[in-house]
Amino acid sequence: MSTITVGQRLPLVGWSASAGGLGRVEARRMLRHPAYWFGLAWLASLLTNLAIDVVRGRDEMWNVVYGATLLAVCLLYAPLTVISANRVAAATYRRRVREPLDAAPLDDRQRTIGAILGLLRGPVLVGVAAMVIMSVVAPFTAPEAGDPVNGIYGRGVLEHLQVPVLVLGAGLLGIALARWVPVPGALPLVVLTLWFGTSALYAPADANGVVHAPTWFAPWITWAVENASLTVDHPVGQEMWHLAYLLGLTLLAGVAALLRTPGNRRGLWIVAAIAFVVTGLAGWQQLG
Amino acid sequence: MDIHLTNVSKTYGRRRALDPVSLNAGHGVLGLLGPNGAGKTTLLRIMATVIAPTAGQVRLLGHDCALPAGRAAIRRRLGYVPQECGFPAGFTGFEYVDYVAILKEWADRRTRHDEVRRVLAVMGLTDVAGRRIRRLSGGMRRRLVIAQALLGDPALLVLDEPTVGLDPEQRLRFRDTVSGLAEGRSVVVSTHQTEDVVALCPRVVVLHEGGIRYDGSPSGLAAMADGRVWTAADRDPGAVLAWRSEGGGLRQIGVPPAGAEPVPPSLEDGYLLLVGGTGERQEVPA
Repeated sequence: MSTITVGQRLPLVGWSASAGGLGRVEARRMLRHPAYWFGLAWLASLLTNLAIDVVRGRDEMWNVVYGATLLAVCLLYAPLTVISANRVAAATYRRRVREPLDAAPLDDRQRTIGAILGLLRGPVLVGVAAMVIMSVVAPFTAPEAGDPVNGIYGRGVLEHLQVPVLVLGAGLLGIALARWVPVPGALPLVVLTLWFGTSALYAPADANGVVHAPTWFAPWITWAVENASLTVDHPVGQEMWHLAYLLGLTLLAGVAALLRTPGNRRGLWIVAAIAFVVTGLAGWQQLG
Repeated sequence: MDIHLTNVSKTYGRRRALDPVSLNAGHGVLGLLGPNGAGKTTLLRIMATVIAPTAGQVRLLGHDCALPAGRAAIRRRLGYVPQECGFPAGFTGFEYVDYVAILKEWADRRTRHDEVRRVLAVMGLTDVAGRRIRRLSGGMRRRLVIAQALLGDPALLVLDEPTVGLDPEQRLRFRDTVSGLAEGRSVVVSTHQTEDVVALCPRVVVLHEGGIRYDGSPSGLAAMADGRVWTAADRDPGAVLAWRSEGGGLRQIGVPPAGAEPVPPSLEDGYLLLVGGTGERQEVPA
């Protein structure tokens, strides 16, 4: 230790200026989370298999790029974002860790908002990048032969917008879990339920239209089309409602995270009530 | 007055941790002594705005702690070292202090990093700033917590047993640091180390069983044991407390027997006499 030197007086900059810095730090922490390394290993394995398919002429290249991006983000990156956002939000929420932080001007609600900003500046940008890739590649993809629904189903902006929204919702769920259920075991349970549930949606049906997958794992609204999987062939034109449904769930997760923090809750309850109604309505409408 | 507490009390469920306490303090170092469970940490957590009192008024640096705006204003000029502190996983020392600096509203990255480097240098942590916290020794971690409290030249420093885990040399340097900081600001230090109080604090408050038992100078506290400290080969019946001293005899406090030769009391003697033998000394059975 050296002799004390007097430091600078605190420049009073306010919350909005600090939020940017906090969001940047939280984004970096989320993106660096080791959970994503597992995802990269899985992705490398998937891409290798798909590349072999392309080389051997079993699949179209753009279909592979499109499908791999979709699978990587929806089935892997989003569930892993639940983990990374949860761990980052929980790391500074443990009682002993919080003690000196609670004496700082930015309170727990502002720190939670900081984590949400980090989510937007980090993992969600990966989702946006995936959305851009899918939007660019989509016109070059070829419909599967013998699948008339797939042939007429043009995936537009609203469809692709669901990808980053899914990542955002997953991250907000992770943050809400960190605030409400900070107990060991809660996170793996939720992630496994999400993962198996989402996997079930993508499981193909047999010739009789029966999906052989643990569909009971999917505690959300789904629809089935004969001789197809559960979700590949959405009712055409319903993507707006599906997007609204996802946004509603995302908003509910975000409000849930903030409701756990001290401060005025009336506005949050009003937003939660509106989001609940819109989510229910959109969920009903998307069934066609 | 930077610190103005009026009838502040705290209860946890049915257990009363702090009786109504009133305390005023201005610039300088205020030492807080007391046995475990005396209410020191509760009082310091209230002063750090981490918990709210059950009753009473807390005004710090001219602001009312009960108001959100007041709390934010206080926290902008507050440094706090808690008794026990954990660290977020995966942080380096620099990243941790930088994170706290962001929470203290240091928005500009360059000036923030300069300030982080400064406080790390003050606590002698420059060389290990890039090391993961889990790889730092206990003393280094303690210094890291102190470093974050020094960010932004705070007007009020609340230090709860800051020297726990520091080696003797680090403790001496810490005293030097705090002495330097005491110029023009208020520092409240809770400690079990009476040597720290003697070295640092012109004023000491003794808390015991949730209430203030003494508020005055360290010499005044020592003087309370005048004529009530003596040494003998065996424990005397009038001794409230006795312990083996450096010379090999038993140093005793209480009511000396006839003919006993009193010795000059120390701050520790006065403190132990005040808290009735419930302090930290290992008692020797009669």
